[in-house]
Amino acid sequence: MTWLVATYEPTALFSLKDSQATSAAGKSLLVPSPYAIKTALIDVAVNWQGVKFAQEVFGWLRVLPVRSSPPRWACVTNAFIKVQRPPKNAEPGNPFKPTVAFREYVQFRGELRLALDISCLGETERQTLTSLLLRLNMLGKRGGFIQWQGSGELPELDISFVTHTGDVRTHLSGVIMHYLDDYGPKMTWDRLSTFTTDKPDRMIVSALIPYRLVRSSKRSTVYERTG
Amino acid sequence: MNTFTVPRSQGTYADTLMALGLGRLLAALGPSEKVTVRLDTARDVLTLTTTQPVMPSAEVRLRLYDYIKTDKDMNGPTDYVYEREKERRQQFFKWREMHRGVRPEDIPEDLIPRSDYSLYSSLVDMLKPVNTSGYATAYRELASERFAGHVQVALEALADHPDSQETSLSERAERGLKKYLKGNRVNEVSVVQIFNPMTGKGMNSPKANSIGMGQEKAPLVLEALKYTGWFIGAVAVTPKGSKDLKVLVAQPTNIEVETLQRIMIEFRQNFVGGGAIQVDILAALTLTETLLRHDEHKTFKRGRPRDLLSGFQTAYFQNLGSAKGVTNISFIALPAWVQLDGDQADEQRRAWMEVLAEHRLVIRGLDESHSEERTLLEKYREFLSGQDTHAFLDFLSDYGPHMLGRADRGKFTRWMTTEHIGRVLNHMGKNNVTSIISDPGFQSVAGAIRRATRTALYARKLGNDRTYDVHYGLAQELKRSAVTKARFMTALSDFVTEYMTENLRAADRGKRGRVAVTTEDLLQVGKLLDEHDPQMVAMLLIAYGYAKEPREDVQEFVETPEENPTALEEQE
Repeated sequence: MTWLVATYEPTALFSLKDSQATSAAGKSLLVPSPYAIKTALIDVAVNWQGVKFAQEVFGWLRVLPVRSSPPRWACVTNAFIKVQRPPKNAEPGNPFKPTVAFREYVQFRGELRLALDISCLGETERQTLTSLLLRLNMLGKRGGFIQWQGSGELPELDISFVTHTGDVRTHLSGVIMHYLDDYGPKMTWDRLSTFTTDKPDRMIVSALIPYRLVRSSKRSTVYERTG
Repeated sequence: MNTFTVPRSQGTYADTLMALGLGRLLAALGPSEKVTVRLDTARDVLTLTTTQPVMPSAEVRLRLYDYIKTDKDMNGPTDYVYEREKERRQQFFKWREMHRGVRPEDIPEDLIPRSDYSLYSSLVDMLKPVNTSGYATAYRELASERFAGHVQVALEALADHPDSQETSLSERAERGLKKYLKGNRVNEVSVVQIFNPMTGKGMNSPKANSIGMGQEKAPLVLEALKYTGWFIGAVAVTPKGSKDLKVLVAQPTNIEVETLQRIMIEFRQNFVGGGAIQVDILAALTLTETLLRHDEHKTFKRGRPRDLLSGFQTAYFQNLGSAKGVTNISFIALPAWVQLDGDQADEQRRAWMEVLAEHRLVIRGLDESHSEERTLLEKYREFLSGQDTHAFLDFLSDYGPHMLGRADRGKFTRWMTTEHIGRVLNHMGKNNVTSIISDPGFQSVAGAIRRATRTALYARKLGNDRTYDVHYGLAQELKRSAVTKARFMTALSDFVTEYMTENLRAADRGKRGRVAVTTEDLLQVGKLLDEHDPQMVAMLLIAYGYAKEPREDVQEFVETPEENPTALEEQE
């Protein structure tokens, strides 16, 4: 196996709503899901060389296994923010009404690493993927900025990476369980595109995040990486 | 041995409710079973084990939870008649209003309302109307001949089998529904936010191309387990002065489900709420006390109460007028500093109960509607849940001066005692506090601070003795100057100079003097400052200086003599 590993420094608060959560209470994941990472790379491809190029990228990126290694520390802030919500009976020209809803924002300290299994890719695709990762500067909710630090190849991932069901699992002193979503086998460009009504094919994977709860209170929770 | 696992995939109390509900189901299927629920931190799942194979019987239908019958629901089962309980509660409050001052143990038993009333009333409020909600649908469905099928779905979905973990819990339940309840139309219910804090009515579109609102659906039996768990491990509280709702669910670490249920019954009877912050604090303190007290067979001799229950998972539902929306989801941990170490466990248990009672009374004495006291409560909550020594010292160094102000205004005061403060600090893991507080120089200076503040104030208020000044702003001055060692030492020296000058002046007038602060004492404090953070030393000095010594006569009101300064002088 060959993993292409890109390292980033998170420079802003991260938030990515758990796919089980609704807009009424946006609890955040502690790591970007494979679905979010792939979609962010597709977004980079569209902005870099256009839709046709992005469609080509989608063709081989869709099936790549993705793992992430969260930063050493994560502090989740509990907040409630003002959001817009469609009311039961919307007034003409005013489809939303303001209300408040719970949201979580994660402040990371340390390096975030993203790994993609490139064993099945040719040299051109590998170079393209490296270029896309270099240009990736945002994950999760808009404004979740990250700064590229470097990339390299690894034959296998260490215990600081998230393990999915089916991976060889190392016994850690503590983990946080998440259901992460990924592109399903039936995912197509049309299903992904927001300009169509086709429903995306999302596959849920059970993942163990190598984090241990260090401290928790009403306003925040601090996690430390165990791996 | 059969093992079942509930993945903590939501990270909220929804997972715990499901595990507790499953525990109740397993215990009901095998009446002699003692089901233990454990938190497996290596997989982040709640594990439940039974010794006998669990087989649902088609003939035996179990009632997992009470049906709530309201006035609008004419023909519903009468497990829990809501209006009757509501009336009983109102009668109790009327009776209490007419019989003020009656001790709780003297209240007639038949008048006392059920302590779990709020669990039912909150559901009536949140599941409008109850009789058409998923809660009632699941009750009826589980009372039908399809009961065994639903139980099979739950047992298969939650079985601890490596292959079964490859898909999500709801996918596994969906598979079970097709297998056991094919063609049944009512095998899914709407997901309700009071049982699933992060899944309320709202948008959850996988693609950002529409804004449709919707209510998520989930397999009926999985939600029914949460409804069952609600009555085992949940507490619903309306914070004082609000129409909001705070839900707390005890999170198990390693405990029998039946024991947890008994503990929570006892907890609900003892728990007295308050403002939103007070609820968090008092819940953690009361649960710790309940866990210590509950152990009637004294089997719990080593370890911490949080080894049984780690704390409360909470959700705050803010009243938004037409509905209540979630504005906070958090976890409040039980204090890690309460621990028994095997030897003299009974003595330690008694000592910790005293500490917890003191803390509980201190917290209840603060009023959340006053900004200063609210800040104090926030600091205490930070310390309690976060096990943060600095937050505790910050709280203590503000609490003492605040109480001094109250005492000066002739208001009710409750002081913390040095003995209990020391006990907590000595058990708060790795810190340098023990070496500081046991230092004779530190004790001498802290004593001088006490005599210049509390003792002087009470001598003035109660004995009309104006021999010594009350150093009102001393704590603030010491705290402010603790940014560097030099500034702090200057401020402390200034205080000691004034203190000694007052002593000389008193001696000159033939009055009895106070214990002197020696140069050796100051040197020792200087050494402590060289070795430790000046801010920590300053806060500790204030905390100890404003706390009550255990040998002092304990009185709560300033209207009655709190202490006899002369007697104190004699002792010293």
